[in-house]
Amino acid sequence: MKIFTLLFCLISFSSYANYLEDNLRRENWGGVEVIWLEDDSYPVYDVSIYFHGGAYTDAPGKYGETSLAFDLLTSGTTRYKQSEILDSLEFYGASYQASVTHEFTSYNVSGLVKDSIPTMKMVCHLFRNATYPKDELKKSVKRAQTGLRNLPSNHSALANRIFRELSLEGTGYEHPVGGTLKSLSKIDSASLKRKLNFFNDSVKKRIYLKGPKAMASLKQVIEQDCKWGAVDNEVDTPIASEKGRKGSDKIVYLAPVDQANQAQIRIGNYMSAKEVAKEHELRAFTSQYMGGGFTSRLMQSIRVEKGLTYSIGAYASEQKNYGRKGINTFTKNATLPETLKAINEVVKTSSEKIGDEVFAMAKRFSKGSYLFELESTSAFLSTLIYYDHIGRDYEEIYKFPKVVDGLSKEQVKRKVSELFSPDGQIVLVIGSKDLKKALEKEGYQVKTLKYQDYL
Amino acid sequence: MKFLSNMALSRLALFAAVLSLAGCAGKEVKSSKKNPDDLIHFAVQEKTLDNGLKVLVVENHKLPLVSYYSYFDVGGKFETKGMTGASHFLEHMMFKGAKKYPEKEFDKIVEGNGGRNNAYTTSDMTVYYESVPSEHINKIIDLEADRMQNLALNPKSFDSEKQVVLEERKMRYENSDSGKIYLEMMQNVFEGTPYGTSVIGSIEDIKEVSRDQVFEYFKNYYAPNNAFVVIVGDVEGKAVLEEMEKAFGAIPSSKGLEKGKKKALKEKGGFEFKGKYGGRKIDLHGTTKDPMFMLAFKGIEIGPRIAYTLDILSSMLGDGESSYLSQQYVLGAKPKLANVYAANYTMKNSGVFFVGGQLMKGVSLNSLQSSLYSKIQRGCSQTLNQRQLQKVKNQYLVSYLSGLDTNQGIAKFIGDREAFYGDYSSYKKEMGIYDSITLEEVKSACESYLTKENSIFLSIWNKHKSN
Repeated sequence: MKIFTLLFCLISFSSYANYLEDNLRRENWGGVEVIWLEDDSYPVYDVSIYFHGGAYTDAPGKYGETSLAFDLLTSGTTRYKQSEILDSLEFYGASYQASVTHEFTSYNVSGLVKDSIPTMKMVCHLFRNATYPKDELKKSVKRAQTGLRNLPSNHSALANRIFRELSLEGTGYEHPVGGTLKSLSKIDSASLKRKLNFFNDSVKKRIYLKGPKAMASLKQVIEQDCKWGAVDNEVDTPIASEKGRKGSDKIVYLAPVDQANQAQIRIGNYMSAKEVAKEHELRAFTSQYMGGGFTSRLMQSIRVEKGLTYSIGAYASEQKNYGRKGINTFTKNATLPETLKAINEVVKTSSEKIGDEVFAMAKRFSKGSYLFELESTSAFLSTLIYYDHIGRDYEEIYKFPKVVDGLSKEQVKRKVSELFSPDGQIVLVIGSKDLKKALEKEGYQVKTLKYQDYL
Repeated sequence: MKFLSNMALSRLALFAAVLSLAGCAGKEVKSSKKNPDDLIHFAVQEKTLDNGLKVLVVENHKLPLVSYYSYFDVGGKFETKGMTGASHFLEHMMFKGAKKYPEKEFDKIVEGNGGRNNAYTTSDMTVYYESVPSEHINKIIDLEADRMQNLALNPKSFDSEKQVVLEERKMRYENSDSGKIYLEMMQNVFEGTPYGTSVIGSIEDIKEVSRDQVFEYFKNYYAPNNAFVVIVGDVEGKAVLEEMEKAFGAIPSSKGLEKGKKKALKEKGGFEFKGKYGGRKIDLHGTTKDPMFMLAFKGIEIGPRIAYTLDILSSMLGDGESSYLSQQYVLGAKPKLANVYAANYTMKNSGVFFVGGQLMKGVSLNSLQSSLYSKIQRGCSQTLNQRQLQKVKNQYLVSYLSGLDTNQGIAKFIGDREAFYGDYSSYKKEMGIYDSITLEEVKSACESYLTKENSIFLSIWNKHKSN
């Protein structure tokens, strides 16, 4: 069945749209909708099973439950031990991995077409018969806790974790998908089984498939082995209100770590449901304009001109009911205040003035890089999953260049200010405890955090 | 080879037969032939210009996009005293302007035409790549030709870029325990050899290296006879080869190239191992609460059959949750490790085989070290079996076919083989070689290479004393 009917103004997008129009189709396999990108290039396939529900369903105090329920599907079933399951899947050269967010979950499998039937039969068996043996669960929790205990040896990852929680505090989305040291200990086999049953029987699913014609034989496996049938329940998640934590460019949250000769910087905040529901293209363009490439405003100023960092990026990313926006970078201890000020200056300047040449160039970059992001078929499938989840039509994907072409400087300046203006942003620094004095000397109010509270 | 992508430093961390043309200098265009039993086949048009620059072109008309890869045969191994990090630093400076396209122009042109670009440096090579809508291919060719012959090395940006590289060094190694232990492992295994200096460079050398030194380095190594180019995408082979001839044909080759390389490698001591092995322990002070370890063994260069055999051995030991070490140490009845991995890192002239992971709370480093030697040997002699061998071969087939759905993926696939084997078409033999390797060969390689005598054991922990 053909999906796309639009004619597109840009040659690149038009070619891509034509290619997809010829190769993308929808089917129904026993009540489960299937989006299939037919691709005969190589004898390999990708399957993503999408569930319209995610970690938000985790009970308070049991954060990490959904993540464990999917990650430990291979830990044992009514028929097979963990070692037998792993040996079977890996013997076929298959890759299998769950991706859990607060709002939705996908289970991704890939491998050789010739082995797709036994592989997917095993995957269906796991979904229907996983038992989460107690000893395997215990070992897995210990491994996860070891990872968390040692997270501070990776300053960047620690900064991301703390900042996520800080910026989402009060929105209902602050708890980490993978759980915490404390919450992981409270999860038991019975609750994991209940969670899996819930996803099997009570959560809407969709299957995204990339592979050749021969993959049609998977239909029988999905219908007879997975036996999911038609389920319409889309698990509700709360709408992030506009009452989250408000920061200030005068306040810096500092989480000291040992042996740091570099300061990790995270600046940003959450976006409310109201904010993420509109202006998708403007937001995507603006974050890229600010920090999405070598010619972005932040990269040009902070790295190229001032040499203050190796890398700096800006983002505005969202799910259906909440989002986050921010700027990530790092710098040497001695240049932390200078870097914070320089970032604010770039934001201020960009929200006041945009040159013609820079604006035109940013538009061309944005349209081109968007196409490159869709070049890989598996990346394209991820985009389709996301669009379906947030309820946008696929046609919007191809309208992107046209919408970007139509953006005005005034719109972008306004969005720069809305997304990145220092007022109201949360500023987090991970680094040496000595940074406190340096920041206070520059007039910042420093609030010290214990990173242990975020593990 | 299969480990290459994890070992490179990148600029930004943040993936038809044509006959020789009339009036076109250089050698004849060659075209690769498809054999009936080829699993995959790329119709590569190949031409070497008179100045030594080899160009490989693959037409792919699926989408109006093109990827352009430039491989330079220069990397950390050629860096002599006071020059460590020069290849990587030069990689950064290659984006800082040349004669025709001054500072800031390169990124403006690539990104301003809807493209993307980056680069990376390893001990063996430096690689630059751009992907753009195919209508801009001639502009990319012009940009690349300009910087190959006329790099500016502007003094002001030369100094500011040093600060950028120093921050990169801190981010990758000084503030990361996993980076720190990897850097130390490489320096100790390859001590006294060209691979014994770090690609990122010492802090002192990065700070002290002068513009003149880097310019000299550039003149020696950035020449058409020390490079090759791979172009994959929606282009017409004949036209693009003509354009390459026009843009690069007049660039002189480097006359003293081979002599200079030999001299540098000799000064750095040659490739035979000279470090202290025998299970030597190296304790590093870090921040991790539970120790991380690396058990490194003297390995072998890319190419010989034994290198393929060691690839398979590393996967049987440590790739995937069903691998031997994962089952023994991570998923077994009494787990000692939170994670484990094994890798056979083969470079052009030498290699290292290593096993690494993170200990569970309360597990002793000493007991782990001794248990590793015995378990690996016991595993090789008693546990590894035909099914595990076949499993790895199946996994290789999948990974071999993955990533080939983009021009960039195909260009890197072809370019890596040309760089390592001097023959882009070696991909046609690779799977055959892997497929022919027997369990006995794997076991024998394990016995010969994974011995205590050949090894160094490194660990990093917050309880190790500061050194």
